[in-house]
Amino acid sequence: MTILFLAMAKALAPFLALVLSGLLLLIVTAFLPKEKTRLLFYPTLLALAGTTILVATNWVDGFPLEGGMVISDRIAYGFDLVFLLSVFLSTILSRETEEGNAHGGEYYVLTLFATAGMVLMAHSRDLLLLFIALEIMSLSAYILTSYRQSAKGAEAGMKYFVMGAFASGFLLYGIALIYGATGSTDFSVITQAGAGATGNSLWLIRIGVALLLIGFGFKIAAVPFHFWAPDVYEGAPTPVTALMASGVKAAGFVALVRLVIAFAPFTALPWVKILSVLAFLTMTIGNLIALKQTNIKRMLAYSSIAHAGYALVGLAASIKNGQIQEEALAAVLFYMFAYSLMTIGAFAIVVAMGRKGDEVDEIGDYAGLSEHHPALAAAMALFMISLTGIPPTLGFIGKFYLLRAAVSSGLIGLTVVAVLNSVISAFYYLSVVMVIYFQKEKGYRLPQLSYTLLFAVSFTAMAVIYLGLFPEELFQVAKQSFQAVVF
Amino acid sequence: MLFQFGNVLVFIALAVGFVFINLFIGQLIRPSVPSTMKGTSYECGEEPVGSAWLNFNIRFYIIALLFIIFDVEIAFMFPIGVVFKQWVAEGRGMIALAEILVFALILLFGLAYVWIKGDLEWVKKLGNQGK
Amino acid sequence: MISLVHYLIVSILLFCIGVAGFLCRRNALVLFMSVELMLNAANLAFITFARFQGNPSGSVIAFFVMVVAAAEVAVGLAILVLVFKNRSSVDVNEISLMKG
Repeated sequence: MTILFLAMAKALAPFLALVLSGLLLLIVTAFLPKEKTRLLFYPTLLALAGTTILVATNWVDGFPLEGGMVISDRIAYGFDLVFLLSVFLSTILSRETEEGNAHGGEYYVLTLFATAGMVLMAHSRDLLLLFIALEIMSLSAYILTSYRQSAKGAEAGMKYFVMGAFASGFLLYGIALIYGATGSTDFSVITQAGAGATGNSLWLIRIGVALLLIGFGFKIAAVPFHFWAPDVYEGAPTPVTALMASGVKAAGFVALVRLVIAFAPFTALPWVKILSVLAFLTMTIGNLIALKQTNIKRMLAYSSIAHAGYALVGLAASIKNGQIQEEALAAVLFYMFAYSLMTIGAFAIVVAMGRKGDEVDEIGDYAGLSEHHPALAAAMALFMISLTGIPPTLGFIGKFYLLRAAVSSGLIGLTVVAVLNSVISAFYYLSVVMVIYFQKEKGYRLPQLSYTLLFAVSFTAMAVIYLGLFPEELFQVAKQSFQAVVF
Repeated sequence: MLFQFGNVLVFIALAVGFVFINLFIGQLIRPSVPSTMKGTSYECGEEPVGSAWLNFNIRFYIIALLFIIFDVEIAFMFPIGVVFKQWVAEGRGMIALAEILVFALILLFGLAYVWIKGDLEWVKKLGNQGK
Repeated sequence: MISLVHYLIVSILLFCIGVAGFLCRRNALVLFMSVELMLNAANLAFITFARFQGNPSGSVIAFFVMVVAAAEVAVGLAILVLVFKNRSSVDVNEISLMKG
């Protein structure tokens, strides 16, 4: 009894740490006078770092505790690391933009709650828990989007909320149908009951799974469920946008990975076709619309849509050929990690270019950055090259692993499309580099660089280069996360 | 079974008929002398002032939002209350108690937050915000 | 007799009304109500399955969904109040500072 209790506590420690520190900071921020709430920045980073250590030790110990609704395998801990990394970095960015905000304390509290939701999503072994965790994450994200209370932020928050609520309606109805067919919301019970399902109940499961796919398609902003993303990304405060592009998207993918593992074996749906079409549309449309964007946040929003498409290629490959499932899913996890680093780095520079309450969003405003701030210009160029997928950067390695899995599973056509898309994306990513290095400046504004922001930019830049040169160990970590996948 | 529903049907028919027959009889025998004063809405003898379609104080909405959250708490309390005796008899009383206490505690944190922030007071003191 | 299928048909109708309302109406409050309708359609389905399969977990799930719906309404209305404060309108066609 006590041993079991201790094991449970250890497995759930990351989630509990996040929730407890969030609740504690909630009370503290209520007591603190307004001008001191920014001090909560440090305890928040401390809580996130502590949670990261807990997750890392649990990953190393690697015991798959299965009790009740929670699963604690290495898949969960692997994705937890991606969430924590992206939340940590985006919190550092928020120091810059939200310092003078009256609700600075609440920002950090909501960040912690959103992280708790993501972590719980990765650890769900039950559709109901998955739904509730998704809501914990999403509700925090809705408030974060509009918490600056400007007209643009409020509009973005409302669009995000309305679309998110619509998506969760689909999700919930899908869960209801699956529950009706199998009598349970637990993944392992569903896989057992589903294997013997025939006729009507099998159809109920299929329709339910389709509704779930629609719901999570909204969350990862896959085409054709993407139309909310550009407005929300543009209107939200830049650190929140960075969080949405990295952490929230990775949380959507962990749910999709769980769905694929649980449902692909027995539903006999054309999974490969569905995911291939989704991946094709998401990559192509995301990249094509990104071509004509002039606002850098909108451009990064469409690029984020396109990158979700690349990751979907990995999911499709994992189903196409069961032999390489481990490698393909590991590539998805690795790609989420890589993409989070690159995109947060790019957003960090967007933050650096802006002033408080007055963001510089137009790509044309970046002209002349190379003369006044060569280091920052080089970092931005690095992130753009990495997002395109040119060696020797992390972005190239991420795509390489994904496409290697796709090729060895036999998805040749989709691989060609992905490569062509990378070529298309080079146009708009490299045009930013061109603006930075070759365009005449007009009314240059000095970027503000504080130590925290400098840390964020240099950390992501070094990680992108270092992991681009020596990715093998990290990929092994990702691969070990998916060993002996079961429910 | 069907016969019992017949009873209900008769009752419904009687109730609906009672209303309309009375209104109809009233229509026949009452004098009809309309005036503007009779057309105004009656508010406890007070003269109505202005339209009912006005902006309410935003506090109404905030209190209502807070109410929704704590209202739903009850939805979880009742089921636990119903089975609690049975659980105690089975020796699992402490688990049930601990779970509902943790739940209430988390909500209590939220309540404490709005209380400290002064959002429960009807007239919020602007200068005192955040203390 | 009223069977599982009848309840399910009502639930599916509710869900479809919710989706149609969401897609056709332009007032943000009505959009919220449509989403509530979708969630409650799912609730009805949960409770129907729980009743006809003699499996109480569906009824418990309905409680959780109610709580989630309440939390969603609280957050959504707060955001709506914010939008109204900024623009004096809750018509989603008029709320378009950003292109797209």
